[in-house]
Amino acid sequence: MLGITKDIVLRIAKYYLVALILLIPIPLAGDYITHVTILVMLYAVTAASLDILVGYTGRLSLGHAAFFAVGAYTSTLLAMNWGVSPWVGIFLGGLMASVFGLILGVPSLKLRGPYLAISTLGFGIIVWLMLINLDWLTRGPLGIPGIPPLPGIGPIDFRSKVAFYYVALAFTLISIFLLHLLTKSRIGKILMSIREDEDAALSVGVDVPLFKVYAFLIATFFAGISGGLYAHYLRYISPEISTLGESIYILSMTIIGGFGTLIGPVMGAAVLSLLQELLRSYLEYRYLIYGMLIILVMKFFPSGIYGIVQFILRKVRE
Amino acid sequence: MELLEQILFGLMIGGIYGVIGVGLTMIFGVMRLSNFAHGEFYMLGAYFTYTFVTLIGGDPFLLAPLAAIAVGAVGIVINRLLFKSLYEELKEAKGAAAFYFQDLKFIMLTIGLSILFVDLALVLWGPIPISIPSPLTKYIVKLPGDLSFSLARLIAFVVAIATLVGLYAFLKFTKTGRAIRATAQNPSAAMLVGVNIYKIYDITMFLSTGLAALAGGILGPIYNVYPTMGLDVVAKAFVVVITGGMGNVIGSILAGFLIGLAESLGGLFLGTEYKQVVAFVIMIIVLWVRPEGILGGGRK
Repeated sequence: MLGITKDIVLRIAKYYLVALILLIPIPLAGDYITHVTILVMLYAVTAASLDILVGYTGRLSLGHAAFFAVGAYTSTLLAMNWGVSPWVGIFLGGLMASVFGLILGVPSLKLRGPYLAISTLGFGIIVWLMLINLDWLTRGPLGIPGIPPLPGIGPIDFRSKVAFYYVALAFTLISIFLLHLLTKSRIGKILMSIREDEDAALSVGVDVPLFKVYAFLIATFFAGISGGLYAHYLRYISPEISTLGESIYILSMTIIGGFGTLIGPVMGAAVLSLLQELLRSYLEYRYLIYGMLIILVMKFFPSGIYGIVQFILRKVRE
Repeated sequence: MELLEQILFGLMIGGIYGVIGVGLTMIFGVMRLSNFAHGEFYMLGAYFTYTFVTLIGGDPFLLAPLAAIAVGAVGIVINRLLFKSLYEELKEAKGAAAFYFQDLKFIMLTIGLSILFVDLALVLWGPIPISIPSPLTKYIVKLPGDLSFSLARLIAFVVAIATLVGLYAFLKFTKTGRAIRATAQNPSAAMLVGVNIYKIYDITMFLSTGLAALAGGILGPIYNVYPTMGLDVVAKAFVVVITGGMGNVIGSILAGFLIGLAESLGGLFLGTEYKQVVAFVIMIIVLWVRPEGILGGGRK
């Protein structure tokens, strides 16, 4: 029904196998590298999920951090107030993020271009203000410390970075694999047809509004789950994770990486996170370089890091 | 009494929203450019005014127009360096996807610009909020019925109104103003009748960034000046522009007053913590009920 054959699954799966083998030994490099890699992976899934909207469906969103935050807060509050196991809570957080995705996605169906960008921006700011002002629930700007970690399985304790790393790795590879399959499926092709020409898609009988809502549901679900994992990993969250700056950070990973490629945003997440780490000592000038990078990439390499890598590979092959 | 005071405050801040929003709506109407760095020109206006006051000396209200011209020149340089090639691509663009990619490029470029300017201000002027000294803030205007506010606020309001009226007259009655309106309506037709649209883009950029800078300069003595002040304003400016209909100058002016008033009254009735939400709720209602804006004329 989805138009995914066994052939496609096998062809894609081998890349993920290679990635798995390459990423398994990372914890040997020490706690710091492990920590940075975990954050990169959580951001990578969020940026890749945003790519379903921005790159594949042609729906620009400037509020994606809001869904990340909804997932994080949902799972945290469930665990701390009702004792729900984080394993379940993280999944419920993803669903809650999708509910919020519906709240944004349905009213904004008819909006395009800058109108959509600004309403998603407004939505993100509303979520941020809610997290700050509903302090009986969220403790407001103080944030929530002491979030319980993922409960251990047998002798494995997920408070250790190494153990959590493998959870994050499994989650990342499975999520991006699923998103990758989605883009190869019939749904993925329909989403791309909406991006290319909404009216033409409509005229050949595509239920455009329905598929736009699908795109929102899928993208926000994965952002929510990443948020949940983030909360139970760092064990502290605050409204800071839902700011406009954070949404822009995620969007720039998607776009600088190369939108509409899925793997590009993963590269974007890695490059921007590493840049943040490398420039940490140049605190004052960090954003100067970051802003300059966005401008240069958009001006000279609009196809992003993915495009640059492909260009180099093609040159090498010749 | 508090109600009347809030209405007055709302109208004053609304005038400023109008000045900022008009600039944003003009660039969108003429160049189809959504400028997410618009707030940074407002911030630069405030810092330029501050620098002029410390270097030359004099009243910030007299030096703000000078700062506005300087920032407008920065706007022209950026327009030529960053956006000119994109306008040319946009002319060739065919199909919905091409327009989407252009919008995306414009938005990301201006976001990059905004990040860059905020950090530049941080490096040049430091992170600590400053206030531009003006003797006018000390004078208090008293109105009958216990109402009072500083002379600086009154002057800021008068400057805002005068600017809006002046801009309207410029667009309506001058030859350049007509050319700007023609380019907004149909760039290729405007070119056919001999309008140099790239010059018009430069002028529009100058006016737009200059107006934002002017607003920053005249608010500097009243509020604090800090590097991220533009980020706090840009979202509000977009709300004003959408409510007024993107590209609609009069709509933006009216929407500025509407949002200013609604925020002020919202703060009074709902409490200050929800004051910020009011503007976005209005925008969502407008987008839902009347996406072309309160006066219409906006492009979808």
